[in-house]
Amino acid sequence: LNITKKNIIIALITFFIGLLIFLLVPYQIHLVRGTTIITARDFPKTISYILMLLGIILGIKSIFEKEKSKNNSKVEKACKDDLIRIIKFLSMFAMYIFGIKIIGFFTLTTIFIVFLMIFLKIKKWYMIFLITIGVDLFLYLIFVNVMKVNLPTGLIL
Amino acid sequence: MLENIISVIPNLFGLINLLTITFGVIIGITIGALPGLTATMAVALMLPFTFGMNSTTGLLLLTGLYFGGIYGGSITAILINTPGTPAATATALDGYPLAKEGKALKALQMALYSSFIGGIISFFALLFFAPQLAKLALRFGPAEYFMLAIFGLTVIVSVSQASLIKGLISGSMGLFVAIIGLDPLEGVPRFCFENINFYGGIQLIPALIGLFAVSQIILSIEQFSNHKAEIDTSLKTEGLSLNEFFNSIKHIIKSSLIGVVIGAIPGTGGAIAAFIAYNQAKRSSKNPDQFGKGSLEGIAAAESANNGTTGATFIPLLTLGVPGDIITAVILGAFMMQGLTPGPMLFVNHGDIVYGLIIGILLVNIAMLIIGSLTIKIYAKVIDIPSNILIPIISVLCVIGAFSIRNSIFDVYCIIIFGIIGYILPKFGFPLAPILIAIILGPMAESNLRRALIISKGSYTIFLESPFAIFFFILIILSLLLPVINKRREKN
Repeated sequence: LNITKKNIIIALITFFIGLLIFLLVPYQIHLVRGTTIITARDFPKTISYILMLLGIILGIKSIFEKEKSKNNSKVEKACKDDLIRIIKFLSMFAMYIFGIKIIGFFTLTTIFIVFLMIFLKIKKWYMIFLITIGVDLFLYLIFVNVMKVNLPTGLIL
Repeated sequence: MLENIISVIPNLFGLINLLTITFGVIIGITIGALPGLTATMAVALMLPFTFGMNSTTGLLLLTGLYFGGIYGGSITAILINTPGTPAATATALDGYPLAKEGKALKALQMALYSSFIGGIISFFALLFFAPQLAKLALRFGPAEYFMLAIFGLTVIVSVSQASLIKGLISGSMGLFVAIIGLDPLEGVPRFCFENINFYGGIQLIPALIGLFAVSQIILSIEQFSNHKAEIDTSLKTEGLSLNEFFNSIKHIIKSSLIGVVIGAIPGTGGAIAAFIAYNQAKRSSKNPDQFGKGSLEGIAAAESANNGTTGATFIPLLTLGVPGDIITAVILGAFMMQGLTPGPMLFVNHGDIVYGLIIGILLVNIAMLIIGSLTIKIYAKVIDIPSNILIPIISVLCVIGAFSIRNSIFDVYCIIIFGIIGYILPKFGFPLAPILIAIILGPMAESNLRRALIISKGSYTIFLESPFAIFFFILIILSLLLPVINKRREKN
């Protein structure tokens, strides 16, 4: 996809997000009668108008503006390998986040750090061990002991 | 003012505060010196640590991180031509050529000393101008606050240099995020989808941890490679001479003042100040040809200007409640977390905290000079820390940081969503700063607009009745027009 097509797609997405917000307002905001001059619905509606308008402007601008800017051609693009690495990381991160409540913060943090370091090609086992223990201890001392944060314990710890 | 200053000094010089400042500066310089990690990320990551702290101590920690991070950014700029923070971009222009010539130590020392002077001049500007501005701001009503919030939102125009429309779209998205939750005046739920987690709204801290820290982790994963950069970081070379330093003193003072003026204008920040000062120094230098090839004057100008903004960015934050740049927007989050609302009433109700912070800024600058001087060679080694060690540690800190705000796992889910948004949007030319600015200023604009209209019984003329409101109206117009005029001028 070239930059013009990308901008047209972005313009369409922006417009539809605006439209979606506009359509959802009556269902998502129930009015209280006669309280304020500008109601709870007006500000969200204004945002939806602005988004739709910006979508239209961006779309028109993209259609009429040919690829003349040098900066525009420099769209940063992740290659396939990078993308796979990002997806793998995000999957691990999501599993970690969503599993905390079930398994417990410290157990899952330990597993997550070990797996992430292996994933990031750390080969020295003593390094993995020291960093994992170090991070766990640091977090326990600061957040549990000093700040008294109740971290999720889950099934294990 | 003097009474307040005298009353905060004994508390400020307590062991805990001094240790906190030292810790903040050390961590700030470390994070700033790590390629890919920014001062904003440092402040965002450490924000949850301030939760259980005394307000002044917490704010001093973040200030130490902020100032240390800005200085730390110059270390990577000089040694590996990778500015640790955007504000250090101009520093790299001359710093890296000097490092290649084997004069890295000279460049690093010049960066440190000029950063210190810039920071001190900025501190005095904050100390003398902020209270006066706060006194004026005490007369503001909802109409003035609405105009002020709109003026703050116009900052989006200046931070969206690449594409104004995309900047405005980002800002509108931020406004939408800000309206989720209970309506501030009527208390009705808005876009909560009958999910109890949304009733409290999207919290600012998880949003900014996601936007500025998790997105950086994803970016590091994308750019990940496990081979080390080959640079000599031993710094076994000659240091900066007094003569070399005094040759640049004129530029340092002038650039610091440029930094102060620019820093006090919301939406500008260190990077713009550094480039303006750099150009100014080049024009007035006896050796303009040397600029870009390894000029100590160039480093002095860029660093004093970007640190000159540091204290000045607190002026609009403390007096008007409008953040001057992204980092002060994050620090504003810290005020909110402590139950404090930045603005003129802060000077009246919490003078101890405000003056503690202002005087603390002086201490932070002194700590930065001492720590920077003593550890300059150690910090040069920091850049060797591989990213595969940092990524797991920072990932866990993001999670625990978001959770500890209100012990909510929902906030942790938010960081991954905002992290993905923060990673994807810049790829398509969308700036992230407008989202944050809109999340902060959106509710202020909406609630004051509605309050003002209740007072005026629906008449919109209230927004142009008082001199302050008219003044902000003029500022809004100027703020919208100036970037457009500048762009046209650049094109011509």
